Amino acid sequence: MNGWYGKILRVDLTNQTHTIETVDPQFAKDFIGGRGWAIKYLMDGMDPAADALSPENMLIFATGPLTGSPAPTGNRYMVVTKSPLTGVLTNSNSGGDFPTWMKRTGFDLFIFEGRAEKPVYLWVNDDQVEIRSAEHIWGKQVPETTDIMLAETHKKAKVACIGPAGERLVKAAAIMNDKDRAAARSGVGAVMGSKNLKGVVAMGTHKIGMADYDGMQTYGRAMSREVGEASKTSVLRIYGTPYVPDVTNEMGILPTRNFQTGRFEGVENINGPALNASFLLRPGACHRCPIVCNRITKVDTPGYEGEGEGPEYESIGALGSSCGVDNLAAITKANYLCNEYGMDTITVGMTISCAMEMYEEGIIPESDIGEPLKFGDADGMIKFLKKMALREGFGDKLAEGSYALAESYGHPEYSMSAKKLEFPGYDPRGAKGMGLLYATSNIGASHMMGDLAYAEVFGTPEKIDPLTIENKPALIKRWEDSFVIIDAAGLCVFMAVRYAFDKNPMIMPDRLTKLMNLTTGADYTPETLMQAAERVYNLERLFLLKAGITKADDTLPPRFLEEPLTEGPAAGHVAETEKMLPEFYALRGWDEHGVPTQEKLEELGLE
Amino acid sequence: MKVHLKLIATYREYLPPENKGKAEIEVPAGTTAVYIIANLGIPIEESVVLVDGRSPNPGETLQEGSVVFAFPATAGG
Repeated sequence: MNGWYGKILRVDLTNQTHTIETVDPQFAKDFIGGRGWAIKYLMDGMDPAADALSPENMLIFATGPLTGSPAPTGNRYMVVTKSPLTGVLTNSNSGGDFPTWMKRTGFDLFIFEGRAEKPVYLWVNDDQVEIRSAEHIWGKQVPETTDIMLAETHKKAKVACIGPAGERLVKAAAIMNDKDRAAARSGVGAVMGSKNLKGVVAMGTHKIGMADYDGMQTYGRAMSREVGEASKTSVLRIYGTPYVPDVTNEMGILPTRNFQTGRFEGVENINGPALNASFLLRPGACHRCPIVCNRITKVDTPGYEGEGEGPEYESIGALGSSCGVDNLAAITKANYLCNEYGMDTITVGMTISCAMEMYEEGIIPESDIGEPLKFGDADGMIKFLKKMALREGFGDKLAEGSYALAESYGHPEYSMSAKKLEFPGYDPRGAKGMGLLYATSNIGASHMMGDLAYAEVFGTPEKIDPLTIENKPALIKRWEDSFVIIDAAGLCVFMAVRYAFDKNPMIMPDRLTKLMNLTTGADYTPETLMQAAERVYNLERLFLLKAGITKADDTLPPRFLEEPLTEGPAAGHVAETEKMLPEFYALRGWDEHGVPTQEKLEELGLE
Repeated sequence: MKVHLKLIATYREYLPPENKGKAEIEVPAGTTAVYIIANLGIPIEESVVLVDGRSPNPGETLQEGSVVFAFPATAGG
């Protein structure tokens, strides 16, 4: 096969064995790769109702056919598993170097099953697969873990691993790769911890086959040059995603004090120019990426010293404005700590801001926390982030995520989450398409499952009105399916939405189809690629339904549905998700309960 | 009448550095946000222009105290 190797490495951690499986070419095409293949293996291999932290859960690392190809940003992988934070599926995406190094092993997917009796790590060097003891590394933070694994294997290999948070089954735990990149969301690191799998080290000499080698070299590299030329002066290279707080603040949708408001008085202390002036060393890039949006930073401010990567916008929103914190040194330090302990900055920040609001409302007594924990307390935010990572004291409650925390005090409505996954940085009251996305996404409140904020907020491919609900169900369906293709192919959404789709809001994967065909030779059309994405999306939905999700879970916290924003252009607005849901279900071919109809499943070949 | 101009990120460069992307400007009644932004040499077709946080309707004129906000259209955060 081309693009895909058609080879899967299945690791049985319980018995410390592995097997190599091959993939049917028709299956490869029908499910695209990456996220698409992974959900099929998950559905066939486990009970979606199983406990996410039990040996029965499967943990899948998935690359796509364009991972490691000349396509610009062809360097992503996906962690697919059942989430212990949400109880539903998760697709957690990361870049860096690891995804390409994993692809070079000659396997498309690594599937982990069971549970090792003692801590282990996996070392894959081409076809040489070793399960090694990690007992001497258990307990160590991500940077040291990475260094030790590289010293014990090969200095040119790449590592994905968990830190102390994953070991302690903290439900915000991430799987970190290349030290600072994260498959962050939904507690994937806790799944890895539950399996006693400390890390995965990968390298190899395999190169993917190309259906049209010369064509792909010409087309892929020309596209890379195009993206690179445009990126030289682009806002993402110069400011990174920290350019965003100014935008969302102006639109009144910047998460502030646990989404109580959408404007933050301290925004100018936490924006891109502030970061560049104070802490930015240089922009950084994932492997061969022409966009260069990473922030390599160093903080000398006493009490917050450190060096590493970040913060990106989502981290600034969650650890900063949502906690009422405008101290950028503290936010950056908190980001470093999340990377070192191995945690998702969004769930960490949103869980601490949830605790802050519940403390200020008198719902969480000071005796439970041990001290006051108020909005704006930068040092408190950092202190409780550490306690959360180590499950110390009140941190043990925080480690369960915002929904479990708020529910344990009888007030789940203080958790700003959908399907128990904490919200990213776009208030759905002022970006109504995003509200429908958060309510219906197969992993909960993630922007990464169909980020219509590109159009509602950022003007890509063109600006649309964020405050109307007209046509939003059709747009969300199209964007959710489009993001399936991007994820399954192994590309970054920053590049793909802008350069690999056509230029109207009802995006179609015109150039992406060409990249896929030059690589795989699978003769996709934009329509058949979109149908494959719909197949994947519906199979994910079936996983959710079997895990126990109902229509009642396709919703948002009462704050977004009932409390209008009070300032900015969205003042007076609430999320109108429930008005959009019937149309969305109908467009998806689902019945009024949100269940795919027999007709739709047959159309997609899922029955 | 006076309106407020806010240019963020790379568009700050269209104003002197000491302005940090902000200016209060005097414009005649009937002026549009797009006119102001285009007059600064900013490529309109590559930009998002907001008035008081919202996309103005075509031809919509500014009011006293309006906030004109612009940034380069791009991928998100």
